[in-house]
Amino acid sequence: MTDAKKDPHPHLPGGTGTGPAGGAPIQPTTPARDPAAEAAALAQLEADEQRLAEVDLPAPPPAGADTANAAVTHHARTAHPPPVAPPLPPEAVPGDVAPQISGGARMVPLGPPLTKPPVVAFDKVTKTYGHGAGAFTAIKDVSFAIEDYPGRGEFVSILGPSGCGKSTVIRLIAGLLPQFPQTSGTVLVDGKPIRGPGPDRGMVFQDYTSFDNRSVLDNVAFGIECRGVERAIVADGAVRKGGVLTITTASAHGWKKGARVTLDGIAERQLNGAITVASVPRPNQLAAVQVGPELTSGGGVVRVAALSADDRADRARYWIEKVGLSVKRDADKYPHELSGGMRQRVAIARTLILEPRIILMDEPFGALDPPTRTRMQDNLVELWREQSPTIFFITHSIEEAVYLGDHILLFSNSPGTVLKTIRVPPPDRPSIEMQRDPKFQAIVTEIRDVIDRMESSNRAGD
Amino acid sequence: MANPPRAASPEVPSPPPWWRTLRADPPVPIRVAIGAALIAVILLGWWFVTRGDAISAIVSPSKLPSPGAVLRSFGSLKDNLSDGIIATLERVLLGVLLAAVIGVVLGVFAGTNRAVGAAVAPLVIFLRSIPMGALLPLMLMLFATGEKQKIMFIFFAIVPFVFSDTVKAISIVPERYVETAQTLGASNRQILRKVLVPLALPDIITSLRFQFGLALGYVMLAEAIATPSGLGVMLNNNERLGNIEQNYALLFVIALLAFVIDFLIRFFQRGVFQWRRDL
Repeated sequence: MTDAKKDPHPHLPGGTGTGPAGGAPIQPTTPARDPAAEAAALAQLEADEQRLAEVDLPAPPPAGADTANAAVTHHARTAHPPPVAPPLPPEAVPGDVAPQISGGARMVPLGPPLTKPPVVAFDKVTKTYGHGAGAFTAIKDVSFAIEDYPGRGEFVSILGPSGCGKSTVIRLIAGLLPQFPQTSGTVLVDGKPIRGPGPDRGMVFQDYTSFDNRSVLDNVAFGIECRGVERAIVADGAVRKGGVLTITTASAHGWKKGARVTLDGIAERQLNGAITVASVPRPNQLAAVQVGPELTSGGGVVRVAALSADDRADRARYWIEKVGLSVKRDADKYPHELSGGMRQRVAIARTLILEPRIILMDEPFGALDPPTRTRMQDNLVELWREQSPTIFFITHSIEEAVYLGDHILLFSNSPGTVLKTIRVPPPDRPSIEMQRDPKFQAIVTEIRDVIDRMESSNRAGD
Repeated sequence: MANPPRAASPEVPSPPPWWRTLRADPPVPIRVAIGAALIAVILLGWWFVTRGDAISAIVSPSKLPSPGAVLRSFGSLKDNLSDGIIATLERVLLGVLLAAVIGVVLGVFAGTNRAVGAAVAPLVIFLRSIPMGALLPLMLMLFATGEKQKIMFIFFAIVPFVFSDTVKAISIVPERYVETAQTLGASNRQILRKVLVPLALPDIITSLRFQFGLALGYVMLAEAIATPSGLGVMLNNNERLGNIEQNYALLFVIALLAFVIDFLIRFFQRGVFQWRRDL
């Protein structure tokens, strides 16, 4: 049901258009729902969605996607939190929707977009184990900030010699003992200190951690099975325009068309209530048909009901296919029947199904043979593009770090500190192809030189 | 092009035979034959030393009756054998079940909450250190001579072992699984229910299987005193009546019983925990 009947205000003349396809003119409404307007809005939505799909996030990109273009978008993404979701050319998004996407602090009136706190911020973080003479400092004064770009998380590769505290960094973000909590300094996720592990920060380990007693399907469904209860997803803002209500959430979520969700705590009270998802323009947006006066509101929460066992299995099957496994062949297998690569695919699916905002990967492909590793890298890039979480990826391989990352945090020897933050072009081609590029190789060589210098100076100091 | 036959090619070395390779298994038929041969040798030796009448036999029939005499005694044994087996198994089953419920529940609790573990540890070490035989008189004093005494004897004899095996089974589940579950949003209770217990269960069942075998031994001790029926009673009565053939026959029955029960539990384990290939 729409909230149209509760709406006391006459509608503004509609039809200003939400895009080149032209908006359907909105009739001044009577209190009853207006099927014609709803149908028109739905048609509009579908047209919009198609258009967006063409412009937005080509995944996988055509093999010949030109680097120049990728570099430009990359630049746009990494400069400052842009007012408009970056991957969209400006003409594709109506200007008045844009400020909603950027979000700003919740409930703040529109205006110059406020910068959100970084997704992850380390400030002079030190971790020391033990006391006195036996004390060991794993990381020392580590500071970095990974900014929050709406609709697109960064891929951060963490590179450094063995034992330099790379794992300490991501286990601190994950909130796992004994690395958590830090000895001094602050670690903030979304501007808030960490209280412990949580499903918003998924983790993939190097060792195979598939639950041996569960089939692939049940492994993948583990997280949603644990969740069980209703969830509330923070909404940054809502816009009703041209008979379409669009809600932008703080994180991506696997919104499904036809799903019923409940809006709650939205500043514009009239928007609160159940709606049916009619389209999903972006991973962090959902749209519903709702005829009513044009309005823009601050955020609240979107409540999603618990999934039934059948829905959970459906979801798990979707993700099994997504990570390159076959539902038919693999869903009922047990971990001991899987190869290392397949187990890591299960681990990735099991994490992604929860649509976490941050994914922490501790050398996930370290134990895999090179061809499998390359395939996994390509699959990961594809998934990252679609889901756009912020990924922290620990690796020993410079090539892997350069290929996957937009950002490389280069760590020094123990006690680990961030030696250098390097920006690299994000992956725009399959791994094998990109690694042949001389520019790619130049970056790899440069980083290798830095590491060599670091290691030789270390040996000199011995 | 056909490959030249292996034997014809001097360059291809042949693997060393199994009898010159450390820890190599002989082929199955040979393994079976070796096992059967040893049994045959023992039976033959048995037959040889008990051959002839009471005077001419190398070993007196009052110590070791001939194989034929033991076989014949099964005929008279049959009458109350099934009653004895049922009575004995019932006691063992009840004792083990009671120990399983209390030992496993307490063990899971102590394995996940180390404070409980620390509290119970001294008591468990004390109980484990008591020789089984030393428990029996106390059980008689506490529970008189009824069924309760036998069940409690089995219970006290095995519960500390079931407990510590359970603690161990819970604690060897790798921490990574717990961490993974945590990052997937599982609560402590969910981790216990969905990760720790299911992964520890095969080892817990293995412990119970071993303890069941031991309990079958302990019950014979308990049945030696004032018991109406059971395998232990039969052994004692035969001893008093000088019916040594039947006692030898009973030993075979008890061994077979223990083997069959162990096999059945193992069969069940393999079926239920197919994801554990080492059971």
